[in-house]
Amino acid sequence: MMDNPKFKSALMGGGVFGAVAALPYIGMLNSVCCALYIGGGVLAVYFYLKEHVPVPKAPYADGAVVGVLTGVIGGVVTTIVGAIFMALGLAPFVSETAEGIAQLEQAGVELPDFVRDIATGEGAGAVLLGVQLVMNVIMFEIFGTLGALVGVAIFHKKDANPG
Amino acid sequence: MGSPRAVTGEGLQSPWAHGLLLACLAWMALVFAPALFASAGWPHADALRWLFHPVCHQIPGRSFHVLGEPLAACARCTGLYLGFTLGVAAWPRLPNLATRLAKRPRWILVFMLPLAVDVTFESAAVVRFATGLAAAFPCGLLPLLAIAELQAAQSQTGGDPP
Repeated sequence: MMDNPKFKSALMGGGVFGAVAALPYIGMLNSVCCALYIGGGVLAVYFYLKEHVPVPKAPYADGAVVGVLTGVIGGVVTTIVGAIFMALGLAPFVSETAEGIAQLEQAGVELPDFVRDIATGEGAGAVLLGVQLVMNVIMFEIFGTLGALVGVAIFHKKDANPG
Repeated sequence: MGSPRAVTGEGLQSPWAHGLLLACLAWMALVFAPALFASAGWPHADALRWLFHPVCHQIPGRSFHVLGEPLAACARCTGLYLGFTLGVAAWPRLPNLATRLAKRPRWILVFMLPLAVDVTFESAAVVRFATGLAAAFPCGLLPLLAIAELQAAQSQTGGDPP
């Protein structure tokens, strides 16, 4: 699998931007048009096309596959790095979620009991981590794939000597 | 391989392309739903709004309001999502333009330029929305090209469509 150029590229794009997206404060760059998730896809395709033999037709299908792989890897990496920060007490997301729930309740929003239990009860970290993993993978999938397609459009080089 | 083939409207229309359009419409519905639900007094509207927090700052002052409630995404993100959705819906009906853009895909960067400039300024919500819309509209063609390519590859190998 490691020899697969698509997987290798996705590992680089998803790994780098997945880790960056989990960093406190720097990860907030995602709030600017999902910049980090899209960036992961663009970077992955950049590496993929660097190794790719130039062809006249832009390989959008390959780009989409690279983007999907980037999304899975990036989502997992973001969650793992986030969990490490959480274990070190540096992660914002658990306290952010608890803070968000407190704000909602202050605003008079009645949350279902299970939401409050998840955020405040025992094992909250594991459940939140699971929710975060699903969210990260879905969002990285969507925007990473879009980034990869944009990357193909930007970085694709046509074969100088077709035929 | 020869030169890039012309993009036909038919080539861009497939069950998967329609599925993509439906997904985009569902995404747009999620952007509007929290505002509509909140105005109707549904207590869990903010839980829906939370879905967008990883990809948008959701600052109410930088978002459009519907029935007095902010949308789940800011004005720029709403423009991006709507532009992409419109692109997915429109490109199959614009085969000549689609062919031109498919031949020179780097042109999408030109459409992104206003957004890149606008990000560095404090502009009105409608400007942020418009630059997002313009940036994302051409990008709607890219997944359609990917789907068309996957389908062509599948039909060559005799397999089922992707």
